[in-house]
Amino acid sequence: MLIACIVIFKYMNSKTLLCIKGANIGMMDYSKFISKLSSRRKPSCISELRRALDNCSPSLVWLASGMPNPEKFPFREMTVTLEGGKKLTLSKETLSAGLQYGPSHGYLPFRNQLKRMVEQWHAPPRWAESDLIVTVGNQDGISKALDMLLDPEDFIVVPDPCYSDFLCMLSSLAPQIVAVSVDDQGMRPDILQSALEKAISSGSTGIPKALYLVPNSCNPTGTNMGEERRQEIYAIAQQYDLIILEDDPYCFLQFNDKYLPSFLSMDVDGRVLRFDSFSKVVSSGLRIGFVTGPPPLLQGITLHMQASCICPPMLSQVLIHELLTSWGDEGFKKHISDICQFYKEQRDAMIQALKTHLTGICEWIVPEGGIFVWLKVLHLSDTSAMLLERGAKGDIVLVPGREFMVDSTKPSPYMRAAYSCVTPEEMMKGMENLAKLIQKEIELQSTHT
Amino acid sequence: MKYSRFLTQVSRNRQPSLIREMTNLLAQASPELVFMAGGLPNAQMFPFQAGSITLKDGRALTIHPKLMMDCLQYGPTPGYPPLVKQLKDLTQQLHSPPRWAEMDLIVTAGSQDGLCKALEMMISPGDYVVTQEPCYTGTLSILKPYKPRYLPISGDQNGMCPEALKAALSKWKPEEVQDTEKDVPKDFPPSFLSMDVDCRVIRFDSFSKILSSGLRIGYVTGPKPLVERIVLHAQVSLLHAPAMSQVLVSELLKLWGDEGFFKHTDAVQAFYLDQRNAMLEAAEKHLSDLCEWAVPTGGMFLWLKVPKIHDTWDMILERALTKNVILVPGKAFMCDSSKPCQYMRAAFSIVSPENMDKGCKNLAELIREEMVLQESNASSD
Repeated sequence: MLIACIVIFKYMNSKTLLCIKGANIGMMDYSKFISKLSSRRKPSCISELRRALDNCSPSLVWLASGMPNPEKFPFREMTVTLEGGKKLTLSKETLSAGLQYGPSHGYLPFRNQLKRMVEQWHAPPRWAESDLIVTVGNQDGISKALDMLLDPEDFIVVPDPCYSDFLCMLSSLAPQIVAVSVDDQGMRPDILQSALEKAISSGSTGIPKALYLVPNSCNPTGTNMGEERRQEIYAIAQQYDLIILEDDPYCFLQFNDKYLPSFLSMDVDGRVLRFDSFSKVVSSGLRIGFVTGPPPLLQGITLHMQASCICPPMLSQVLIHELLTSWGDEGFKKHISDICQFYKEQRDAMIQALKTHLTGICEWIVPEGGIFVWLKVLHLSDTSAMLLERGAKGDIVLVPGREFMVDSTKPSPYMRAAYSCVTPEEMMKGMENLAKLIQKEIELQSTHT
Repeated sequence: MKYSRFLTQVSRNRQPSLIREMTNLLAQASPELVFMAGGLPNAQMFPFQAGSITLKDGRALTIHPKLMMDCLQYGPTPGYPPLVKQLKDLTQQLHSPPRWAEMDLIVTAGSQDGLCKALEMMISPGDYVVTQEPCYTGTLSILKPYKPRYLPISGDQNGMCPEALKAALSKWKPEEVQDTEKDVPKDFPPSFLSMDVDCRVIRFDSFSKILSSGLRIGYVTGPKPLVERIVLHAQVSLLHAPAMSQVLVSELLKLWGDEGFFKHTDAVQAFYLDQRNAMLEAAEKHLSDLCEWAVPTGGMFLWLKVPKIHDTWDMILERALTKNVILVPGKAFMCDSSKPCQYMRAAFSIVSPENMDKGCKNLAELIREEMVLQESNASSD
C-alpha cells in the first residue's frame, strides 16, 4: 500500500505539531478488520436475483421474492400534521413503499437524500469511495459493526468513562478492552498511545481493531473534543491502523456556533465509520439512524441486517424523507436552531439549579451541547448505593458514574444527570433533593467510619 | 426445563442495561420523583404532532398528539405495552399454551429479527442444527456464518418426517419424552406452542403477510428465560421495534376487535387461495409434462421439481432473464449448497393471473431449452 506522506498543518500550536499522514493512494485493506464470523456472511440468493431488476425488460415475470401482496394491507392513506400546523399527506405510492419490504440498506430516495446531506456537512475526502446505509437506530448500526469487527481476542479502544450501552455490548462479546482515561476534551492522546503500545506488546493473538468515541457532547461526560485533539487521535489511529467508530448522535444539539470538524471530514484513509442518529432531532421511537463509511465495512453490517430485520422500518424512513423534503435545507436548519435553543435553555436552567444547590458539594463542567451534565461529588468516593438504594426515596434519580466505567467494580464519585425532559422547576427541586441526599450520605458514611 | 445449556457464552454474558432498568422505577415512582436518569430527548421538540390513517374500509385511525408522542419516543424493549397485552391475549386465545404462566412475549422488528436473535442466542460455530429441508433462505443466512453441522430432515406434503427426524437424532440418547395427545380444533392446525407441555417452544409470529411488511412488526413467544435473553440483546442493539409501527398495529387491532381481525385474515386467505388457483391453472397448462409439484394448502409459494434437469441453478441465474421469468433456484434452500438441486420456488403472491400464464409459458420454454443444452453437454463429454 502506497502512502503518500503529505503533512497537513492545521493549526500551529506552540506545544504540538499536528500531523495527519495522507492520502492513501490505494484502498485500505479492510479484510484484516472483519471477524471470522462476519467473513462467512453471504448475500442472500434473492438479493442477487434482484440485480436482474436493474436492467430488465418490462415483460419480465418476477416470481422470485416472497413479497406479500400489498392489496391486502388494510392501510390506504396517511396524513401527518407537523409543528406549525402544516400537513404532510403521503401519496399512494409513498405509503405503499412505507408498507412493503424495502432494500436492506435503506429506502432509496431517503438514502440519496442523506448522502447529499452528508456530503454537504462533512465533505469527506474520500466521498467517491464511501457509501451510506440506513439502520434501525444508530445503536443497531454500532452493535452490528462490533459483531462485524471483533473476534474475542481482538482489542477495542474505548474512552473511560464510556457510554454504558456500548459497555453492555462489549460485556457480552467480551473482547479485549483498551480503556483510555479522558479529560475535558475526551480521550487523552498520551494515554491512548501508551495503552496501544501495551496492547500490541501483550503477546495476544488479536489486534487492536477499532476505536470508539462520542466526540460531541459525549455520553456521559458532556464534553466536546476540540479540533486539534481530533487530529491527534486520527493520527494515532493511522499509526496503529485502527477503524474509528464515530458515534455522533448529538451533533445537531450544539449550543454555540463553533464548528468542530467530524472525523469523517478528516478521513483521508477511509478508516472512519460514522454513526448518525435522528433520535434527538426528529424522533427516537421511529428507530432510524444511518452509517457512512467504506463499502467493505458497510457490507458486513448490511448482510447482518439482511438476515435479521431484513430492512429498516419503511414507514419511518418514508416519513422522515417526506419531512426533510418538505422542509428543504432552510427548514431543517430552522428546526435545528429551534431545538438547540430549547436545549440551551434547559442547560442554562440546569446550571442555575446546580449553582443554587450544589456549589461546594459537587463539581461539573458546563456542557456546550447535548443533554447531560456529569457531576462529581466532592466528599463521597462512590455514588452507587446512594442513588440506587436511597435516591428514589429522596425523590431524585440520576445514573451512578460506575455504570459508565470500564471497570465497574471500582468506586466512582460521579453521577450523570439528563436535563432534557425536566422543567426548570423540577430541576430546582431535584437539585435541592440531591443536595439533601448527598448530605445524608456523607453523614451516613461518617457514622460508619 | 434447564435452559442454560442452550445458551452461547455471549448470550449468557448479557446483563440488563442499568439505565433501562432504572426507567422501570418510574412505574412505581411517587409523583414527586425527579427523574434525570434516562437520556431521553424531549418529545415536544419532535416535529410530528398528530396524524391520521385511513383504512381501506373507509374508517380512520386518529393519532392524537399524546398517541403521537408514543409513536415518536423511546419505548420499553419488550414492546409498546398496549400492543404487548393485545398480542398476549391473542396468543392465549389462539394457542392456549399449556405453560402460559411461564412464558413471555417480545415485539420484534419483524419476526425474522426475533428468529435471528433467538438463533444467535443459542448457536456457536460448528453446532448441530436440525432443520427441515428445503429450508427458508432467511434462516440459512442467519446460520451460515456459524458453519453449523446441519441435520437436514427431508419431508413430504406434511413437512418434516418424524422417522427421518428420529433417525437423524438417533446418535444421541433421548431423554424421557412426554406424551402429547391433545384435542385438535378442526379448522386450525395446532401450533407447536399449543402442545408445548415442556416449555421448549419459541414461536415466531409475523404481521408481514397480513398487515404490512414494511412496518417491521413481528413477535416472539417463548419460555421466560429465553425471551429474556432476546430482550437483553434488543436492549443494546435496536432498542425496540419501531414505535409508530407498534402503535398503528395496536390501534388497528383495537378498532377491529377480534371479529374485525379474523374477518380480515379470512379475506387475506380467500385472496391467496384465488392466487394459488390461478397459479395452478397456469402450471397445469404449461408445465404438467415438465414439472412436478404438490398443491400448497396455504402461503404463497409453489415448489416445483424439474425431474429432467440435473440442477436448476445455472438455468435460472444465467439464462432465465433472457426468457423473461425469474424464480428462485432450489439450491438456495438447501443446507448443502454444493449438491445439485432440481427444485425451484415460484411466488404467486403478487403476480397477476395473466402474468402467471406468461411466466409459466416462459418457464416451460426455458426448461425445454435447458434439457437440450444438458443433452448436448452430456454428449460432448
